[in-house]
Amino acid sequence: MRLLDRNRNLPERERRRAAVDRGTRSYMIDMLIMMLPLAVMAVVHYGLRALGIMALSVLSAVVIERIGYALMRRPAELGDFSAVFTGLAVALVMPASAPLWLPVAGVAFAIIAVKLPFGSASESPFVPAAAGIAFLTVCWGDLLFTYPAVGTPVAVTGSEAFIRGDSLAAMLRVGDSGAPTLFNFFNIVSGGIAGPMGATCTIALFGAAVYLLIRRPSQIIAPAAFVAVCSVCAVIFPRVLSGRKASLTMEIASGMLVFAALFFMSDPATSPRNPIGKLIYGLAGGGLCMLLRYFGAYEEGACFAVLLMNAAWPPVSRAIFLRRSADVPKKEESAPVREGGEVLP
Amino acid sequence: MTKREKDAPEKELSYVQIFRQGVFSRNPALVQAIGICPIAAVAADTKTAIILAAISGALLIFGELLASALYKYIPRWLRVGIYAVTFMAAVIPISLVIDKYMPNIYISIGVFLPLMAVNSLLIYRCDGFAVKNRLRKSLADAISYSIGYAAVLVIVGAVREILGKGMFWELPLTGTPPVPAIDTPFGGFLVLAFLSALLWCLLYRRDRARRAGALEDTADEELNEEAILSRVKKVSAGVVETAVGVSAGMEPNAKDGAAPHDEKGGGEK
Amino acid sequence: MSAFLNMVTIALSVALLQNVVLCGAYGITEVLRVAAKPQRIVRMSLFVLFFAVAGNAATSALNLIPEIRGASNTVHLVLYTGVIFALYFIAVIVFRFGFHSTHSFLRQIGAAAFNTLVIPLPLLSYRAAYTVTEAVGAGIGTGVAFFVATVLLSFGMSRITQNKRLPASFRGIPALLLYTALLSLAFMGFSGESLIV
Repeated sequence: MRLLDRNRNLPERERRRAAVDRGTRSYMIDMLIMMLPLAVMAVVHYGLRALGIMALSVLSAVVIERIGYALMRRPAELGDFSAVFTGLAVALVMPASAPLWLPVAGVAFAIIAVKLPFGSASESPFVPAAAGIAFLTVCWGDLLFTYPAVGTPVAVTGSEAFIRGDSLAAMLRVGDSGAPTLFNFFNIVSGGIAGPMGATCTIALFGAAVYLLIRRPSQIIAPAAFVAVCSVCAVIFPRVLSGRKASLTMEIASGMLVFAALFFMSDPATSPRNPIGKLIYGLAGGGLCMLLRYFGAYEEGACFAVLLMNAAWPPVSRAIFLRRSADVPKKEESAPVREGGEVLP
Repeated sequence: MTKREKDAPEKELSYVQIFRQGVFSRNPALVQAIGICPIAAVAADTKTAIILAAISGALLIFGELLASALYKYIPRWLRVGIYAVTFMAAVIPISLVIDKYMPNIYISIGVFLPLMAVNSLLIYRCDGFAVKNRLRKSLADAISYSIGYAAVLVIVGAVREILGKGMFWELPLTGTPPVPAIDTPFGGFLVLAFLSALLWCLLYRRDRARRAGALEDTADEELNEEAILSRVKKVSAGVVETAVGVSAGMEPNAKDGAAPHDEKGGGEK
Repeated sequence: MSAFLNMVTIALSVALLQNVVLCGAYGITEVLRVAAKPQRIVRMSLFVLFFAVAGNAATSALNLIPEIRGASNTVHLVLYTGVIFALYFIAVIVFRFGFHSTHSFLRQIGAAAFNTLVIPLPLLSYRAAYTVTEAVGAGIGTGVAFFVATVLLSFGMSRITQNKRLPASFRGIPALLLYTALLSLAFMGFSGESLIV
């Protein structure tokens, strides 16, 4: 339809699209490199089952995206690796004992409902993987937050052979100070505690952060601010009785807090472009994350915090920068009433 | 009364056109996004959805007839309140009847009877169509919009019951694991969004087919591209109104060729 | 002091922790319409705030009378409608004859008074057995919730309209509904699956 192909200057649009895609692609490759050690640690701790979950999740992401693009009659853009990123990100926050359909459901939601309807990964207003994890949290929170004990053979959650481990997030939820054995520093740093299979290994996450700092120094601002606010909140308002230091360790090492900060808050498609904006974005996201942990309905709120910040950033940016920021559309573009005339039929 | 305040007559439409508009090309919920509160919040299973559809249909027909017959004589600035009070009054007997004969349903519908009464669909159709048209046209309009709205309600209710509860008509289905979140308003919006995309897809396809000469019928011109483009250019301020429903409620639809005339009045800038 | 704190807590809860518009879908049609017209957001939010606070305070004050408190649901329905209509009537008279407002403006008052956000509020407050101060808090929270939801959706809408790569069938309403759904999902992190308000 002519109406739908309004852009007469096609070459320029093609050029812009190519530029956007190359940006997405190189970012996604960096993210995948950062996830690699996490995936390796997951396999080290939980064995082949973890590998199976990751492979299945990535495979289903690619297949669903391929089918979706075919239905939309568009050339598939698998080359930007965003489907692989989504699949792997969802897989890494699963418990190793998750039934195999669980990551597939999350990935399917992320791609069918969050990514494809908005065109592509660089245009989606929300981070698809974060939305997928949030969806799983809302639907099957008990399955998602039941973690197997480390070092035992992993069976599916709910089966007889399943051995449940105590995750830090669940302990924080009930205000349990934790058994002293858990505060074996090496365990926490290497991921030897029950938790999401790829997000517990603090040393690998730290390595990923260093990689991000070297490769893309400007993208580290938001994740760093996010984690910093969470740390400050953990120290000021501890949820456990065993002291502020224990509270800090437990809050930061539990759940998917650092994981979400590193991989979702740094997403260039949804995060602000200028450094001050990134700083505020990260600070507000961290605050929301801790609010969700303290008052929210689920034991882990980092993904909801990411989604809320995705939605809240444009108005906040408008309020702070008064249209000077690149994130805020120009005045004549910003009124959806006028601009909408072209797109809303 | 100035000239602007008088009721502008609508463009004449045939009954077939009215029917098609109400059910397809201007489906209240899917194309104009009006009246979606009860769909998203309450219609989580088929039975409730059918009862809601029946109530809203009855209210719409009753209200449009009344508006078409009598409400021309009420000053325009008071009409919105009068519509709301009328529908509230009409809901009371329904509430009593449901309370007496179907107490189980009353618990689930409960607080939503007043929601049905102030459903924007009712006020919007009454003020946008019925008061300006003859009784018969209003009846046809009410019936077509009721059918369009009821279809959406029932489809959304059925889909949400199947996906969210793994049941259909309160009978458990095998092989569909329930997705609990579909029960919540979030699921309602999700199902509505995909249903709406499906309808738009069909409308685009029909339009393309028609312009390719596959369809002989060129009687109604809705959704043809030229009309869309001219509309877009003509009423820059009114465009979102056609897409998002009408702004503060009840202006006539910009699609009917009547630009939202009140917009040019003062107090907007 | 504790009553005031209670009021603030309820207002915050209704507005942010369990945003009634996004988590409960109350008044979503009105929110979408206003979001399409950013210049109306503040005005409509103030109207909604007025009707919610005044209506809720008046009805909860009426509920202090034991005969009314004990009456049936239907009686409450009539009563609440009467209160909201009276408020609407006063507002319309003031703006029609005091300020000579346009019909568009007066219709907006109507839309702010009779929508699925303001009307069920007294019933919900009655069920939750709120005191007058708590009811005022719920009213304030409703107004703020309306404002928050409208602003978020308005910016989402502008983001959608600038997206040149939207698939054809998702342009306009479907993408907007999907955006609403995802916002609702994001707010469910606070409220969970059940809405207490």
